[in-house]
Amino acid sequence: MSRLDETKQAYEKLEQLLDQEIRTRTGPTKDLERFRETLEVAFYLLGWSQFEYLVREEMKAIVEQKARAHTVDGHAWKYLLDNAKDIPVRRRLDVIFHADAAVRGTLDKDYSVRNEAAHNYKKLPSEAKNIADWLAKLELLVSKF
Amino acid sequence: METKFDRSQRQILVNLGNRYVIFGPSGGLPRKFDFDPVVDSIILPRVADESEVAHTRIAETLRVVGMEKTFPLSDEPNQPDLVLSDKDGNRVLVEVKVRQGDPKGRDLSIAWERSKEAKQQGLMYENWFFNVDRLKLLRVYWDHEVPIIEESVPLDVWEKTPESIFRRANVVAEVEDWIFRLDVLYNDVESWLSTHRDFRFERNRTVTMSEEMMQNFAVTDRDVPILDVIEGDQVVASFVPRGLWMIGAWGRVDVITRSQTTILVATRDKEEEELRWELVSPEDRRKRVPFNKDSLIAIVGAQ
Repeated sequence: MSRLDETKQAYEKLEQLLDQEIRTRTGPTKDLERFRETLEVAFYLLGWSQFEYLVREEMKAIVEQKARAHTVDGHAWKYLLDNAKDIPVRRRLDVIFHADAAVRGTLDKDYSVRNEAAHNYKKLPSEAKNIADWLAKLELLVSKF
Repeated sequence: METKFDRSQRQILVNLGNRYVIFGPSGGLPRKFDFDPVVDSIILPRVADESEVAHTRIAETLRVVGMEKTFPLSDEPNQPDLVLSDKDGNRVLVEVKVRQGDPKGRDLSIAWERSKEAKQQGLMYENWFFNVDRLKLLRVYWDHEVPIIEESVPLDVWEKTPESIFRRANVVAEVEDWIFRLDVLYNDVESWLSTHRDFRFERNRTVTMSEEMMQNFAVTDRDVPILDVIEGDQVVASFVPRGLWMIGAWGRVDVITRSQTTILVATRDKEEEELRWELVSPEDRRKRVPFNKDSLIAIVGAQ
């Protein structure tokens, strides 16, 4: 179990508290809707940052393994390893998920959502709002590393 | 040269990427649209991100009633994106700006300065700021020694594909249908629970429905009622509409009780089938059970 699972549990608890506040409150709920949207964005970004760390570690492990070979390819992998810090997230995902186009495609879309939320102040689109399920999917991917 | 024609009443057609939008004046009496989706729009390749192509698409497709569009000569002062001319020979040089929000003060200052300079040379120069997120057009120019901002609002929006034309009116109809379906659902809930215990029901509270689809098609936000199920002075359950446009469902309502939140979704297997409500299992979201009096009492009445 990674930190992602803990993040999922924290999100579910906060979501539940917000739901209960909606139920027990007698007045308007507009502020709670805004809080929920902010909570979704916050946990989406937190989930991504935790996933990115694990992706970086996993890619490093793959590249280190391949860089051990005393071949031309080995030198190329060594060069990649030396410059690993500068590799963008999408390229890291390519290294890990190159054999699974469906997962790679989904993560690509999710990363665009993440960028819009992080850099463009966007709310999450409806297809990305199921944060608990999405965190569970990330946890499943990570468990296969 | 002073402006002779009424700029404020113009209807303007543009393609922003996937969407065609007719912009026009806000307020006043309803007017016939000057553009028609069938006649006045062509099918263009769909794009993943409208903001990447919006500037080019606007320049290519922009049309203004009563004006002819040309592209500027290379020696045109200030290098506008477009030149609009009317039958009397009036020319407006237009610089197109695409933004995901309203222009900043700096943008406006530059736009007015440019328009003022052009005015001194006898030219009409306007900056047109297209807000592609909240569909709005601000025309910024200098006239009679006064800085002007004229706002145009979206009068109609549509997407044209080889299969069909999807218009703003379709989105409005879907929102109305959603509110009607919620009313039917709440009536069912009230009728099923009223015989069970001494419940009373209130629909005074609302949530704001402001979905991406509505924003894309310039449909105004709606307040949608929450159904509260009350026993004594306690709310034992709240039915809170969460959204209409979902992947794999035609709407979602959360049923919040004291012990948990259960998701209710509208589904159907085939397009021709009537929608039905199903409860999503909190343990496994792939499992669903029909929503009826028994399943309702199991989550609300058993408390």
